[in-house]
Amino acid sequence: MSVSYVAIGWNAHKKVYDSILWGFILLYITLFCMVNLLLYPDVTQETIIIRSTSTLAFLLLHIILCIGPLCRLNNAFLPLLYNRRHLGVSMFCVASVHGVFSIIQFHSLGNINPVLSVFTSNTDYFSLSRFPFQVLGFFALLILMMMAVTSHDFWLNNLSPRIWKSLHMMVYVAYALIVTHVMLGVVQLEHSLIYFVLVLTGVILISALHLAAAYKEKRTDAVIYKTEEEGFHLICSIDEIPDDRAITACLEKERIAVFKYDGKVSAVSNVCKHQNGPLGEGKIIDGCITCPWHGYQYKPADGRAPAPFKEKLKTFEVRIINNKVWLNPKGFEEGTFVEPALVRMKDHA
Amino acid sequence: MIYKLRKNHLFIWKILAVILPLLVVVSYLVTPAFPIIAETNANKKLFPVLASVQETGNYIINLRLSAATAEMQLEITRKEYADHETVLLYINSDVVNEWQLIGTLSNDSVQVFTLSMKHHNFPVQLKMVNLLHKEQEIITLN
Repeated sequence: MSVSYVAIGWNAHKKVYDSILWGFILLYITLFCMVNLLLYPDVTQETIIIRSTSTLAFLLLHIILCIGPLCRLNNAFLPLLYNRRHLGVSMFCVASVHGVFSIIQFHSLGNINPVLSVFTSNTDYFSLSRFPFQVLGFFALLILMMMAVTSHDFWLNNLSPRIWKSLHMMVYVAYALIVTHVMLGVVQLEHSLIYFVLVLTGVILISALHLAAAYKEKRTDAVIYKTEEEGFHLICSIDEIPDDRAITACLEKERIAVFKYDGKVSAVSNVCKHQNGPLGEGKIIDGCITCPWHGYQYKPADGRAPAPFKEKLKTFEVRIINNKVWLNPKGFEEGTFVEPALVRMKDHA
Repeated sequence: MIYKLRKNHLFIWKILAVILPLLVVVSYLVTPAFPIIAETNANKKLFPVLASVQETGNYIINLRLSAATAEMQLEITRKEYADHETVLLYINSDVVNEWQLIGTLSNDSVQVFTLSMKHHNFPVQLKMVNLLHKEQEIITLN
């Protein structure tokens, strides 16, 4: 969290992460160049750059797309999510090098504008085997550029998390365009079964992970809390909530995180104001609910971020009766203080 | 994520999980059947049998055959350097009866295109389309 906008919010974790990331990028390009020069001694420098950056960007995009569902399936992957934006911007930089060099190599020697040439040099738009695949890569790069430009918290705050998140889900469109770009481009030109198998494996892996994570979320949302008294729903027994942690309940299509801390229980909206992160998967640190995605913090009783921050969450009333936690899904205005339910010794089994 | 985003997410991936693998497989299945290996310099080892020599405009076209493999080569020599000139090269034969783009003639003095005889048989027709002068020429190689 930061009270003002900074170009890059460096901290020790991000420095280590980015060092590893750019170390990997340089190592990949170096090894790719060496292997290519050994196998194809006549290959030009431009061709090596185009090939190495294309394969690297495609690999990085697959890693990026795996991170989200992996985190929803297993919390151990959360540190990767914390730095995903840096990975995304780095991937865009690599993809840009591929795009720019491709346009220079294949479209800059004619007598028409190189960008216009991407669209007009091959007009077999109705043929699958001769489709102008570079057009697909061009549009994918535009989407990635839009995402990289708006990746900063300035845009997140000004566009609102909901619009920002919807905008960044365009990465799936970009992915579909890039897969088609690769298939109608290099795989058809090279006639390689290996490339075909690799692309198909990547597509199946990404799809399977996203579906598995989405169905897990759907199962969570489908749990019905039938027992109801005076508007309060029975959620669980008090012992089911670990100390300084939460359990999440979905009531009336809204997920609510019920936290147990310091002998008290409070409930707030499960949706972090920063990037809609799942607060219920976070923990209490320094007396504050801490989002597992980017560390945004809120006080559990009133849902307010500690000063000088101004983010506020909806709060909910909780009761503890005979060791059982009851929750009223009618929320209060964001930032409203709600007296926490007290956990007495006899509430513990 | 909020409920609506989670729902949209599942919907998107239900569609993509069907469309993307299908698209990959279909793209592979419609791969053009004639493998082309275009060399951008003359270092490629040339096939020994010189079957045909044709001279047209700025180019000399040698058709070479391999004694050992079912392949043929088009060895195209540019007589004079022509700046900003882009020439597209298409092939047509009685096996694949339509014009197929096999490459672009660059400013290299010699270019070699290797083609499979399984997919091209005699007589072979070449079409050279000069984009700068907006001209095209058809050459038959017997």
